[in-house]
Amino acid sequence: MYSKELLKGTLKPLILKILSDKEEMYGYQIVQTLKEVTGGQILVREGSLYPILHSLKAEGILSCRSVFLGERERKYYSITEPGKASVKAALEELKNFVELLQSVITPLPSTIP
Amino acid sequence: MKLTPDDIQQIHSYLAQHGLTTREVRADVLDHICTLLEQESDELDLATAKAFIETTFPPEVIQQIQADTLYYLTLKSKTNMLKLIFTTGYIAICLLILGICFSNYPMGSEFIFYWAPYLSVAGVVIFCFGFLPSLFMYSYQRFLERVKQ
Repeated sequence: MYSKELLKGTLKPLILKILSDKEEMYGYQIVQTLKEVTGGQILVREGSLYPILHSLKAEGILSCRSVFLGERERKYYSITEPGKASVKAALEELKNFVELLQSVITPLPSTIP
Repeated sequence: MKLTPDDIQQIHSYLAQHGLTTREVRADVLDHICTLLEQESDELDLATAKAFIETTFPPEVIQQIQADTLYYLTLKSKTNMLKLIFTTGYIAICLLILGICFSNYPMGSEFIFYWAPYLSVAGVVIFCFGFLPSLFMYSYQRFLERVKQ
């Protein structure tokens, strides 16, 4: 399990990546998929997931479709057409950040005095 | 575990009772809990289910979800409000200073003397109708948030 601080900034792009791979998903599915993909190393807490999903929806990056299952409502989230550009940018930013961290953590042999 | 409409209503009440007031997020969390319980064994009884919910979603977690939702949803408007406060404050002060300086500028031309009072008035207007209302509105929103917490 990774620390909360490490996950904090990466959760949004990770959720977007998972959503971009599927047409639409509901909250529980996102949590489970992330758990499966990372071998249980990243566990998204519901407390973090739903506020992020709703903020992405408010920003217009996600849209949601409600399905009523008897007494309860299930919301399927999907990436909107204009939101696709934001997803691409967020993933690119994360990728560059990871590369930068990599270069700091493991410097090239020639740069070591 | 098969959930009855009454069980779902009880979970719904539990979430509302502990402060999850945003309808859309409450619906999401309700579905999440129901799905979690449905994944559990069919032999799960109501008492165990209640204990499970109270352990997985204690009141402080529910309140945190609500607080985080409000934070994320209002983050943009808060940032815009702060920008407005700083911009109007800065412009008002600049205009007032320029107006005061120009009206007392010994080498000033007639043109500067003519415009100096207008600059001061514009500064006062922006201060009173731009800076102060946005500052009060921002402070009031912060106050309401603190009261709700």
